[in-house]
Amino acid sequence: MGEPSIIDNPRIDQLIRDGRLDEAMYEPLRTTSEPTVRLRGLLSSVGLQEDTAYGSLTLGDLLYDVIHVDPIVLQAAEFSHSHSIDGLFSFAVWAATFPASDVPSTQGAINGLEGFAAERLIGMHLEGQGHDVHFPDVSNEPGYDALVDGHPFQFKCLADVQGIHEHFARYTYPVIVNSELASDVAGMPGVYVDDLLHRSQVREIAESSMQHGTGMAEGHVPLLSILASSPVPLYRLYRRETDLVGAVSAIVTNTSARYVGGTIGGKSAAILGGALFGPAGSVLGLSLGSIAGAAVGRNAARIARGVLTKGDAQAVRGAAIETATLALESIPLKREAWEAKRAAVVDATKFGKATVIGSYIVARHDDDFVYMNDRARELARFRSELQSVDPSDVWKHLLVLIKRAGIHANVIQEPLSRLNVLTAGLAASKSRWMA
Amino acid sequence: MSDADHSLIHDALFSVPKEVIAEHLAGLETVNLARLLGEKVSGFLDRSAHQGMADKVKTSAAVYVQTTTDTDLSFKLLAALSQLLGASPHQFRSVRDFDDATGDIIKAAVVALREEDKTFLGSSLQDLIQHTVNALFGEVGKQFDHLPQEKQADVLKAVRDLISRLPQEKQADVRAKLGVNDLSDEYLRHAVVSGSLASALAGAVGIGGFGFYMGAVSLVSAMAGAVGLTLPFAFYTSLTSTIAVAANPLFFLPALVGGAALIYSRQNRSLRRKLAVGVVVQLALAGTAIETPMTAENNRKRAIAAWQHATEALSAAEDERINAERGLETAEALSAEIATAAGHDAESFKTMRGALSAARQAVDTARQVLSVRTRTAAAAKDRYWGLAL
Repeated sequence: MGEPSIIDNPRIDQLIRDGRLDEAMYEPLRTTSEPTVRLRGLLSSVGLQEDTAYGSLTLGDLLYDVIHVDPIVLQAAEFSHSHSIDGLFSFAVWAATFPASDVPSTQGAINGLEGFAAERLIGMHLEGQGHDVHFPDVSNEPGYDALVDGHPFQFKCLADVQGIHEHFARYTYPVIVNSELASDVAGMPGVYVDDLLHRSQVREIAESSMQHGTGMAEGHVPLLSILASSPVPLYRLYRRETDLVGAVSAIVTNTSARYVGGTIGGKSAAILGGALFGPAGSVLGLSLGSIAGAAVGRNAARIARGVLTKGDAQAVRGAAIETATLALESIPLKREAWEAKRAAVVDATKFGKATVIGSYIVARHDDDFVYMNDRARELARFRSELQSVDPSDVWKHLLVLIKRAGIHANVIQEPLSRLNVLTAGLAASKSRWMA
Repeated sequence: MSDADHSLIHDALFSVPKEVIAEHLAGLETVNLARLLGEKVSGFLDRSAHQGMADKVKTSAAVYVQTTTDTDLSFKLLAALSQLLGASPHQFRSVRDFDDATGDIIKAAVVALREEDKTFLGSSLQDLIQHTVNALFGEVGKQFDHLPQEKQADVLKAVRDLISRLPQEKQADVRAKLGVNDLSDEYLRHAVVSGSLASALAGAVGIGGFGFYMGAVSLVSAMAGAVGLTLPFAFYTSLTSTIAVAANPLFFLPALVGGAALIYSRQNRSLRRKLAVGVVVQLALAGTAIETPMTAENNRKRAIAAWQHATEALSAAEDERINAERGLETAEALSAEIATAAGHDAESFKTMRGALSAARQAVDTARQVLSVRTRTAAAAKDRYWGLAL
């Protein structure tokens, strides 16, 4: 077909041929992960680093993320050759679940495919952040496209915000949109930005799909190959490339005019805040920017400020407790979603070679599940110890814990906005008494 | 910074030979400014005195290799790095916990180096490595002039051998960077001292890979040995500046007359933090050279199981300690009761003497049990000390 293959490590092919699928899971996808190349990547330009980061993904990483979104793709796999696994990621396999009646071979088909590709991409990006995404068996559910940790969400990839207003005229479900709309939807309640979703890229995928094999049936349109050959990091790299603590710190201490350093470079704190924490996050940078300055003071002044700003500090802690409580209340539904996904993976890997893949996926799933539960416990402990935490630092710790627990911002928007206002108020009080 | 970077560190922790981990750990635990000063004072101007420190590290590492499992060593090294760099403690119940822990260690290492070395302005693991690799090759030039003639010839030969390990076209690149076609002794000598060789070789690390890097480390170590310092490079590069400070009369004269506790504390902290940064860099570089990711994965799973086991053992030991404490309290109360009763009545003292003796024995036994339990609990805690067990 001419597209770049996802897998170019010959050892994977050999291991699959030898029936050693379990070992193949730990092999890097690309030979770019040879030690020399890895070291070079570490010591040289950003472009090569991205390539190296992609190369460091193993076959297991890839299968885990893709199958976690759509366990059904396993049923199409043969696992006899690395090409058959490449085929597993082809758009055609996913598209097989797309109703043929919706896809006439016209511009309408491309539009339909675009929507479908965008949904799957958003799904993968969310998975990378530790959420469970479940696409309903029947597509075109009224008002929502998928359940994220059990909560209904609409996914949209649009040229302008008109479609978002139309959605909210009829439904209340939150919406996740493409990155191009980030500045238009900043602060808009119930709207979240997937900063890895680019409309032009989605369109390219859909058009390629139409060119290869009349869209669906026989076409081998390796969706991930297209992503892999682009400079945009892959789904799972979203999590890999996002330094959460650094990102949150940046939102706290930077204004939107300043850029977040390191590997996230190029995203403003406000946009990043929106991506991580939704509408409340996107304005946090602006209002909390003064905290850093307010936090710098002499010790004596600090003690005096402590007394004079006690009421503000308590209000911040109260809002933080409320935010943590709401986040914790969402955990049981998330657990249910994860358990249902586990059952779906087990069900899809009952037979043949898929059982080996299934064991691997389930083991990783269980490992991530332990991590998620531990973070939830940590969050509960943090809530119970909030009285002893410096109120200026509360929000940073809280948001890191919430993100690590994989709780979607939608769950905590209301108290998070209040926490934002109160923390800004605390910063203002501190400034006043420090003067 | 990415999780891929983080995993370099824990991939290395769980796949490089046990001896390497043991040496890093022993170095971090053994090297401190007091010891360096002790050697400095006892063998002032006797450069070979530093051999003693290297021997101590090697001996301590050998003991670790003999007595400690791979998993325990990896955890101990993680704990030592976390403590020295001030990184947050972590639990280790899932693979992502290792990502979080090593991510925190990398961040702390970046902060530490920025504080300890004002020439470092980086913000990532990549920056840390580049800075360290440049420093490594820079040392070649700095030390060269101190070597005797025959050693200088050995170094030039080693440099030539190192370059010859590169692919032909890459050798040409290095020559081009140096601006010569023929790497004669005379030109190489100039390139070494001027530092131009350093930048050419630093660039070649990426080309030559980990083997080339290790060759360069061996070269620097050999040179270091020639001037009396045979510690591994991570220690070596960190030590040179500290030794320079420590050897300065402005530092150690106040230290000798006392009142230099603050200076000592700062310098010692600085030294140990830089050592820890060196180990982080070494581990990351080793992480790029891993050929068998499944080994690291399996060892990581074993480590998670060991952590779980240690958590349970600690919990059981704590429970037993509490029970033993209660047993001691009961025995002591009983003993006191019997002694009081016996004291009131001489007749009953006779009959109760046996009971009193038994009660006292019970107290002794309970004390012994408590002592053992306390030690067990402390040992269980110490085993993974600093890692939030």
